[in-house]
Amino acid sequence: MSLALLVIVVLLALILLDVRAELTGRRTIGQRIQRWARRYVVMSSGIVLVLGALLAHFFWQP
Amino acid sequence: MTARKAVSVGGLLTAAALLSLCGVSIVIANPLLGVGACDTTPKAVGWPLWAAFVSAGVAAFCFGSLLGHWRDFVSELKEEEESLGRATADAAERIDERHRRRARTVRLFLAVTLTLLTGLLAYETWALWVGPPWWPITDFVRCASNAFTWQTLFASTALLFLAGHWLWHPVRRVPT
Repeated sequence: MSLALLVIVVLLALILLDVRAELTGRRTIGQRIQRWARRYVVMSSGIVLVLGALLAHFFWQP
Repeated sequence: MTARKAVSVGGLLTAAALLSLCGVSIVIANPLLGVGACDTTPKAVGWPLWAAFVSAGVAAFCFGSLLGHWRDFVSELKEEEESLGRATADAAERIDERHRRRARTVRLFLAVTLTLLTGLLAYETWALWVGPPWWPITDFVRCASNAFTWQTLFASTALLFLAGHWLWHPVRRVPT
């Protein structure tokens, strides 16, 4: 449960920073991560693949 | 505030609201969670809930990606133009230093995140290998999805929305 809370708190902090940057006209967290993802396409696709596989593994049991 | 900005902020705040709801729910309900809620090897949520998890996750990922495509990139393009030498030499140097600092921060964040993910996957492998009494992460998540189904659904949906929004990037032209 502590780990789940830690993940939620980190994600919330990132979202709030993203919203703040969006409202103040600065480069947002999303844009920074997207820039990294554009530069390292294979790695970002790999992360998405691992995330999708993990979530399917956790919840999908036909 | 432009429409693009409003929609981006709205999407992000919705994800934040869902995650906050899950966090509050975990804090409040955690002391009430009995051991009986989870077997020694918890099963995945059954039909039709697994379909709800999968379809909500895919929809959230696509929506997040769509919102990422639609997001306003004017400020980023302006910064890139400035860094390409259209500003004065001093200003360009300051911008370069700022970019380097920010790039270091982003790299550090990514390195920490990837290290954490690798550690969690290593623990998962080890726990599966040695078996009880060590629970793999899968069992923790399945336990949570059985005990707090809607909260887990919200959390996984919000996570996939953010993955689609941040990682499934739009293909667009950057000034060279």
